[in-house]
Amino acid sequence: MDEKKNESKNRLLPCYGHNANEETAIFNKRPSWNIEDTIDEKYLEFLAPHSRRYFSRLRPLFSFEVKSLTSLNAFSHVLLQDGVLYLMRFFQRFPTPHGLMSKILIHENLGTLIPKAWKEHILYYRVQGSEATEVSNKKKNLFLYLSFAQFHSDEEAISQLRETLKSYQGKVFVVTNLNILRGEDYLNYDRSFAFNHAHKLFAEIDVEFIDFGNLGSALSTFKLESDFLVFNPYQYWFSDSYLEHYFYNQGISRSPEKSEKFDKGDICESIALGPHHAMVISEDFVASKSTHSFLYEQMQYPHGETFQREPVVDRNIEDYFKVKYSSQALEKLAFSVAKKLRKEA
Amino acid sequence: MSILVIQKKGQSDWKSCQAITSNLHQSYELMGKSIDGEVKTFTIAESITDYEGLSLAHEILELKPKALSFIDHHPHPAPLIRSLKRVYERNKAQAPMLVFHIFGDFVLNCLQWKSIEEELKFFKVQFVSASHKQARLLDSFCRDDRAEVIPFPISDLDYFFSEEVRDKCREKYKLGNEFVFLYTGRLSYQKNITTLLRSFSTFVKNFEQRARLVIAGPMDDLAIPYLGKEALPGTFFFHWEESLLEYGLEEKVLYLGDLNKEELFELYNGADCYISLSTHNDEDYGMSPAEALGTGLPCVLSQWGGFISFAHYFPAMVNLVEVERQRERNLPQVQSAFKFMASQFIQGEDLKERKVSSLNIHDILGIHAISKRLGPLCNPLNRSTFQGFNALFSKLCAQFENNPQSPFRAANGGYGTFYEQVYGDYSKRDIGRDR
Repeated sequence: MDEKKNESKNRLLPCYGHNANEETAIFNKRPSWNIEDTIDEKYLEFLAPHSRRYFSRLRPLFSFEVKSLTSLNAFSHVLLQDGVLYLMRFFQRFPTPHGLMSKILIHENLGTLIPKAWKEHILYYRVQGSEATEVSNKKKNLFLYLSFAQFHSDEEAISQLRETLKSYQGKVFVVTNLNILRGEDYLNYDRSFAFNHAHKLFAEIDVEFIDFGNLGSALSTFKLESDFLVFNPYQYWFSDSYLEHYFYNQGISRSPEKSEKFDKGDICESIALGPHHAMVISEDFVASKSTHSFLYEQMQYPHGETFQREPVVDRNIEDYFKVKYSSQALEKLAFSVAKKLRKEA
Repeated sequence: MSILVIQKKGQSDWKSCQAITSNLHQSYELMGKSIDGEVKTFTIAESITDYEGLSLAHEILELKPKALSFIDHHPHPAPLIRSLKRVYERNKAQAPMLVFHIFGDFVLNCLQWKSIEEELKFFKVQFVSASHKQARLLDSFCRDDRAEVIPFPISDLDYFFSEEVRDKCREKYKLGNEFVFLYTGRLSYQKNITTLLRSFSTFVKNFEQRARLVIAGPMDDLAIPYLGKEALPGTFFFHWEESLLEYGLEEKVLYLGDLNKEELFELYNGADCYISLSTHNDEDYGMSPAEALGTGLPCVLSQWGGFISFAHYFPAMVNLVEVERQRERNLPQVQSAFKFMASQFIQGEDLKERKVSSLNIHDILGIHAISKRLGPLCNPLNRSTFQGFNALFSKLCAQFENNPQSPFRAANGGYGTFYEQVYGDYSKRDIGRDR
């Protein structure tokens, strides 16, 4: 292999070449370096199918899977698929990058959440379709993936989504799931938000609900004239979903309603994830001044008193009910932050 | 004579199966017009419970068909066959003959076939393979020779040669005067795509002249399920990218993604040689090479499974690349592939000849041609009752029962001797008795 040629492909991260490939192979053999425990199982399952593993030279994982920062030193870089909540919790757990050698990639919209001490260890990513699958021409049909979970969306986002659905002239295929945390599924939690949102969203709109298992069949018939949308308005639970890569790999274009920033200057590079899309890596992120001020000045993130009451991450508990990764207070705060970030983006 | 053609409601997820079922259906309809009787279509749901099967069996009983022909690969007919036997036995009615067009998943579904062995003995049964090799494979599992060969038809209207379309295609993809090798179909480990890239790179190194490899089809991450090897979604693309870099083919390979029927038709016309080096165990036929041949496109194919029948029908148009055991897998010989690629390149294009070839191919593989062969096939007088499966099939089923995740895996991780026993014939050129 022409090592030089491969290495010249990237300036920010060593993604190509023998060493990089070997690291990626080890990363993908997860049990060899990171044994899945109850916390991982509970939250990966909760986030499914967004959390489904996929292959990437950037090595994606969620931060709740990180047992120690130094374990990441086996890899030159990893990518955190976290949304606002888990990222805030991660920096609450690790306010400084003590002992860490690796680079960490986070979504460019979430750059405000990076504490100053971490800046040098962080690079930013965004997903970008190829010319053919990017946001140019709106198609006739839409494949919508809709997750119902607390804090995933709100009435405002649902209203905007409703307008998007109405703008499609052809069929709208909807795949949904109700994300519930294992061990908490029998509790009397309020799930009325899911039905309220569904009622508001689909009233008088003709959509076709399909099972995730039958998605392949519908795609094979309609994909050439369709867009997709993985509805994730606030990037609260996750910023990188397996589903988005799945749809791109089918050659489908992303719904134009989801806008992305493209012009990031010279210091960026593209790592292809499939024939139709890539992740663009840069040193720059989408700055959100007022959120920054709220977080760091008012809330004293990530050291402030509010962040001192998080549950202890005990990896030895086997009872799903007893495992809790974040407090309700942080979950509520993270939702406010997620909304502020979206407003400022 | 009335024939009931049975297929699934809605389309298959597999693109080639969509075309196969649709074309078979058209062949049956044409057959219906030419025989003294009628052909009716009966659609069934994607999955059938035993209760639903009973209800369907009663409906079928009312229709009094002489034969039932199953033309879809999914759902498996087992629940319906069980119900049919019960209903016909209870009503002491004359059981219809069962015709099964067998797809590439027969081995994969062996346990389901085994589960209805006793029920099948109640009927006259005709297995229909699309290729000689698969017919021999099926015969090797049955107590008597049971399989006939009828190729999956290609659409006479969708695939033909047109110089005008060829010119348009070459302009559209800016192919100029380059010699175009074409692969269409799934891009998968199972299809030996990296071996194809390696062979093309050998060709490019030896022939400085202008040539392109054009590839169209969806990428998948099915690794080698028979060996228990799985891959994360996106892994195939990684290997694809690495191979392009390794062989320096980034400028020489044009990947077009997953195309529709019309775009494929254009591409077959625009290309100069179709090439597939697949040694996938389910390569029972090859809808892509069949459609390529339908446009008069010469082919370089691995000497494997269903591809061998194309060389039998069209020896002047199909070159077979020998297959050999390399480490743990059967793989095509790169040198042999190179030799045939070079030979096609040197021969160049003969567009007049191509038009004639296209017509000849439809005389054998076209929907009309196949429709003429279906009548005798569905005649119950030509068939005896099913005698059952044999010991080899029982062993196959045991392998799947004991190791559902890796039924053919040997202790060293590669294919074991039992795989050779089952698929050993797939790499041999001899097709056995002509059918």
